[in-house]
Amino acid sequence: MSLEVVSNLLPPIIMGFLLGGLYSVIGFGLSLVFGVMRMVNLAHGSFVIFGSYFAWVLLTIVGLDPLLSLVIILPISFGIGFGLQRSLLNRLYRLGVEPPLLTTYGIAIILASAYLLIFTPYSRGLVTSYSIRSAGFGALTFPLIFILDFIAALITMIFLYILLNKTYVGLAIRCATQDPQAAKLVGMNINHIYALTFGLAITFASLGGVFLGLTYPFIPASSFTYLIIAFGVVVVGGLGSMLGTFIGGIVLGLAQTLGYHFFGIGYQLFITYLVILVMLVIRPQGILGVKR
Amino acid sequence: MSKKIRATKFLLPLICLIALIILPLSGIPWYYFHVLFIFFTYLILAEMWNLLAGYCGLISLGQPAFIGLAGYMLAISLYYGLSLPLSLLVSYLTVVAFAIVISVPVFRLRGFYFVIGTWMIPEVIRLWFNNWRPTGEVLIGVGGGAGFRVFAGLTPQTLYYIALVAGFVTIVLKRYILTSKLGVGLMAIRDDERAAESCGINVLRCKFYVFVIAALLTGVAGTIFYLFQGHIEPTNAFSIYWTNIMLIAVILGGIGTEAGPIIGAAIVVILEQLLAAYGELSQIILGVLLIVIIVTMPRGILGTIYKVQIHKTLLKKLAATS
Repeated sequence: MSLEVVSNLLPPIIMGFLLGGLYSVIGFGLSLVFGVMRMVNLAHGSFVIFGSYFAWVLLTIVGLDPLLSLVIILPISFGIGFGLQRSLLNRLYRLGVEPPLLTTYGIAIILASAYLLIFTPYSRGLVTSYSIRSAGFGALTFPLIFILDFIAALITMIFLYILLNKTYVGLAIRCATQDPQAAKLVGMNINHIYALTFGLAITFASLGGVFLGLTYPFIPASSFTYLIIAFGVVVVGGLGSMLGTFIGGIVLGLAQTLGYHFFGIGYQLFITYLVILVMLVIRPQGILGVKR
Repeated sequence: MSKKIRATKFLLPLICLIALIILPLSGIPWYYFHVLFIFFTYLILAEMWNLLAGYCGLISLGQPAFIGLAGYMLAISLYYGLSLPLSLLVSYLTVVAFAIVISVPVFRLRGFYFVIGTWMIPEVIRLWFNNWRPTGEVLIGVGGGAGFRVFAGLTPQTLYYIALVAGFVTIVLKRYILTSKLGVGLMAIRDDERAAESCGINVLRCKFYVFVIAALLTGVAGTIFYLFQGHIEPTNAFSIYWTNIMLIAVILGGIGTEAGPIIGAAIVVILEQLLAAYGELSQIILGVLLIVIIVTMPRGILGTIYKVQIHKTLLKKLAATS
């Protein structure tokens, strides 16, 4: 009896853990933008879905495999993020806290409506030969795509770690996070750093979007779901801590798959949101966060 | 001369009000009442969001929670056979109770956490109502929808007057709040929160009062709208679309100004009617408009007018000629 419960419970736990890696990637983008620019990017989820739809267009029209299409999607996403920050958002900081925030809200509305207009409200999915295959270890089987998700997430997080901690650009970004005024004083072009950061965040959002599109079907309204999940990752893990973000992602991934396991598909997101809300109430600074 | 200006300031709203009261008797097409009805609901929403965001700095994206909750409580109470006034009472009490309960966690959040934390509230309730079947009826389509059982005695005209009264009460109430002790505190908070706090204003209590009042009146707008609509369904009731309307109306009119939301709501209603044929494209246009307004005139239409002082010269000319 108990063995059966364990063997039933093991696949959702493994899937949740593997999915969590991906969630931490999209959460880290949100946390990076907030850490560097003190700006809440409300369009973050919309850029996640941007990746999904972009890959879907390339898959259905050109027939390009989603993994290969990353070569096209990532540079374009970076360009969009960089351009948006450089041309629009950078000029808003002198007006105060609300204007950049409300502008990202405007971008979120525009993108979500554009998806509805172009792709209709029907759910889409990136269906490839490997996205529907299952992986198994003995009696234990679950979709193969979850392993791919985790590998992608791991590579991204390692890349980000090296970028932020070992390179000159990373040093500049961390410097701008700690003290923008001092960064300006030593001669850094802070607008450029902001644009780079935003570009990076959007790149990893759409990377997350491509893999999430392979894993789950998506609709235009998923933008808001992923915004909240990215936010939840930051809430659970704590702002600015990379390890915390990783833990936060895994907690939410587990909440989602276990919620599905115990309460069915209608409640899986509800359980995930509930975890975020409970965390907000009892420990808003996150598991590894420092109280500000 | 200043007496005349004050008289104009007082007379203009009065004339508007009387005109709106006698309008149904003139027999103009129903379409215009529909537009005005929508305008009154949007006006309430915008006024309340202005109090929250403009005066308290509470950028709450969670107001649809109160709209949907009020609408749903009304639908459920009516379904179980309560009379309309009693159902309205039930739904308003629920909204106020919910606002008080939710204010405990919400007021612990700051900045980043507040914005998305409030955004989550309607989403969570929506997911709950997606699964819950309060009226126990089988419905086609996305789950949790409910029709309103009673329409008895509610002609479009009655609904128009209900919305008119609600809109009028909102404006009077806002005026009353802003001239009261609470309002002075709010304006101090708007100008400088820290300075206000060090002057001995209980910032948290002020914000709490505004949060609950805003929740109640947003709920009132919700019940009026759904009485008119006749059916309710979670995806629309807790939709981000409501937030769009409040935000665009307030930003367009002028955030933190008194008359801004009225102008903003009027423009949003007109735009919405003009763009109705374009479906989703209208949302894109509204989004672009929002960004353009923020970039070109961050204080909105009214804020910009105040800045360049057009209204004073205009009023002076008006007073001089009459």
